[in-house]
Amino acid sequence: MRALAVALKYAKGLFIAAKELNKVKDLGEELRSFLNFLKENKEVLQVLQSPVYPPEIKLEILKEIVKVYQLSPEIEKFMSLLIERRRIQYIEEIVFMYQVLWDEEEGIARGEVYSPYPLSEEEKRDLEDVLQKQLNKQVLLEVKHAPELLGGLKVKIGDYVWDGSLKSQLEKFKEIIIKGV
Amino acid sequence: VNFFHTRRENLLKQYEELLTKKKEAEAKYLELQEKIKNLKSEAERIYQSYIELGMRERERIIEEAKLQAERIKEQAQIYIAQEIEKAKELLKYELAEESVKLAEEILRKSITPEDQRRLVKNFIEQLKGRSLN
Repeated sequence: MRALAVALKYAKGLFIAAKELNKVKDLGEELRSFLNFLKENKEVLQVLQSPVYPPEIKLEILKEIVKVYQLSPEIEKFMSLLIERRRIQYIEEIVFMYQVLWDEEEGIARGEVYSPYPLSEEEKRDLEDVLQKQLNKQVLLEVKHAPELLGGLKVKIGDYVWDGSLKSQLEKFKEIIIKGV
Repeated sequence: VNFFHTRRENLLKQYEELLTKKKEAEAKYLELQEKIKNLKSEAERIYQSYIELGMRERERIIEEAKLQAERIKEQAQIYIAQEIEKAKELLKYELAEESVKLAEEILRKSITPEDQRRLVKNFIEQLKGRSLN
């Protein structure tokens, strides 16, 4: 919880600056892409996040990365700030919170749809459309394979959950037997 | 003559003294006899009171034992009822678990892609008719 609170603070800072520069999309995508690069190079990420190394060494490493990985001055500055303030360990949460702010700005609601069988693009789109009408936001769903649901679907968007799976119906059936209704 | 006279008087005196002592002894005997008679009745009274006390104690113990037995019986009945209830609950739970497990197995084996598509369609249709609130 603390991680998300800290992440929101930094993500908000970058987001406001990006809005002023009219670069919300560019900086957001660059930040995500840079995080993916760090995740692919785990050793580098580990060193940057390790409390053992002082910020000066980490800043040197960042300078070296920037030579190879063409970072915009804004993202380079932001990464330097995270290193100096020892907040680089929250980089994943910061990227996530930036996305949340961006989605909010764009009126996008992201979520997951759990399905025991491969959903067709048409089914996914139909589902997104119907949820879009309920939430008054553009809905983007990520399909996740969930064989334990047996049949039907379960959708999670933020705090909302729509459960139309056979598994949940069986669970309700079980409750009825236990309660003896 | 004088000697005999004096002797006779002494003997007479002695006889009277002995007579007095005899009377005293007889009175003492009667007194003691009376006391013995009282002792017996006192012993009888004490004996009777102990018997009564014993009887009362016996009644009390029996009454107490009856109450105790009643309490134990009530507790046993409560315990049995609770155990029966627990067993019923456990049975219901196991029955529900097994039923659901069986239903899951049947569904897993018999559900077809066509069924899956229909379920998805139904779910989307249901969502259309629902609002967030």
